[in-house]
Amino acid sequence: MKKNRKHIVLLTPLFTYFTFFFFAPMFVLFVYSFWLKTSTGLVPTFTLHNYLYIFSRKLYPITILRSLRIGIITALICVLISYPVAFSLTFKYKKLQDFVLYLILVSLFSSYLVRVYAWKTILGSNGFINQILRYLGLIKEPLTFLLFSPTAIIITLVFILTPFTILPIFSSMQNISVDLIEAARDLGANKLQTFYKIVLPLSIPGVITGFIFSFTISTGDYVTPQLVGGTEGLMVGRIVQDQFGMTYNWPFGSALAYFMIFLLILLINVFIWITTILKLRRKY
Amino acid sequence: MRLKKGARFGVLDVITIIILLYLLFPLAVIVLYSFNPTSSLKFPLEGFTTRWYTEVVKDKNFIASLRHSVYVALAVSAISVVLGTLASFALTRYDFKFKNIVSFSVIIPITLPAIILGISLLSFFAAIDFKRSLLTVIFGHCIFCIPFAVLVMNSRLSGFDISVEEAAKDLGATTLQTFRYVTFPIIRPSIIGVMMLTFALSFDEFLVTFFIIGKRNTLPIEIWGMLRRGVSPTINSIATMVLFFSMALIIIANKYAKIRTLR
Repeated sequence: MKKNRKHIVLLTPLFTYFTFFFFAPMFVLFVYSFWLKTSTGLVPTFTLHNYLYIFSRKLYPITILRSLRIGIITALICVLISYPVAFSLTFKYKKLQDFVLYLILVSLFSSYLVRVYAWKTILGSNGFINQILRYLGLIKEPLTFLLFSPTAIIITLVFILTPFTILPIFSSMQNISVDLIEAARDLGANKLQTFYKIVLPLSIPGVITGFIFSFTISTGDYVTPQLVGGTEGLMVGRIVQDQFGMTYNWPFGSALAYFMIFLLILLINVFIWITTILKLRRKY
Repeated sequence: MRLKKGARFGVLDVITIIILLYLLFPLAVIVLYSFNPTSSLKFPLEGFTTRWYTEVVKDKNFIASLRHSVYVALAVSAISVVLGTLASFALTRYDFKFKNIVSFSVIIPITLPAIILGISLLSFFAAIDFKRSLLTVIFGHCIFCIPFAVLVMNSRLSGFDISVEEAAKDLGATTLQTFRYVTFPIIRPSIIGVMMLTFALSFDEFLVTFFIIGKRNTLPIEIWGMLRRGVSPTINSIATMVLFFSMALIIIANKYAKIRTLR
């Protein structure tokens, strides 16, 4: 490591760019959240009205809670099903590793809209599952409850985000040396102990990264609830979008966005705290 | 599947295979239906046709939006690779105050929901009265592509042996020559990988674009319009083409830079 001022020169382009197109926009959004929307237009002022307005109607808290619930369930399922895949990829399928990773990357990088749409065609009343069930003679009338429900949203989001959680967990497992595991076994630890004392704590950073990604993306998603959620699956992304697209109440939309950021940060810290409490993670 | 010596086929393997099938089955359904002759989604298929593909290729809106998407993605990958690589050099080679905060603030954009990036850019462009167009889309895409560029470059540069550069300098090479003949050839694979990855990310982006697009559509916006209009068999063929296109990009990207080490 060298010590001089070159790093400032190297970082300047990125931070200039970020200042213009990330920090400034986030600041503008923050300022908007204290403005007021009246019938004549936006009034620059400083008021907490927009934040309080979130609690004025039942619809908003209910939708926010639903979004968070869907986000948490999705993220937990993602982490739970990614873990065994990452584990077997690291410790079992050494030879097939590259091939299986390609399969995961293909899923990750195939169009996001198309992947949501795929589940619409699978779950719909004329969709793949109903067609197969009818073909097999198991049902006469199509099952309509499959599509347009929070469950459909979760199935779709888990499908979309699992590759996103497999990669960080897999990559944190790469750092676990086989020697360490063998040492533990030599010292008399059984399989479960080795897993709980060595593999799990060392892979927890990947689990946390995966959880954060899948939780924030799913909670704030707009496309999935729109295509497969129906009326029961209204999520906060739609309400935010409405403020910017339909009703032009930008201040309220901005307040809602910042309130969501606040809740996301809070819940992510709770999750990290839980992993520490369970002694899954070592304090650094 | 061939397993490691001594490992038995067990519950873990069954779970892994089921999860992989869950990840791939929907894509297979899309590809399958893209060759379905009728517009209703019947199972089993009633035949085989490439009709939807020829229909798509003749569609002017599709071709125009495809062109716009490629144009945006090329610009985004060029900007991201330059800014990302420079920043990555700073983060992997130098020690400085607040390094943790700096590395963290570089990746904040990808930890936020895309809709928030979208509305913040929309508010910003409205506030400074900047007309929305493909240019604003390029500006927006770079915000989440640069963090990925930095992450991938970091994984390459953190394992870079600086002594080869020092050797070049000892032998009389200038800074520029050292970069041109020593550093660049070593990091070139990662640079190509980053360009492919950011191209793919930009090419597929919908939600940020949705808020900051002007009159000219990108491909995902065009697809969204079709999805809103209802289930059309041409969507399946577009989806299949996009699928194979991104697959090619990713395979090339992964060949050059191990993007799977992404964290």
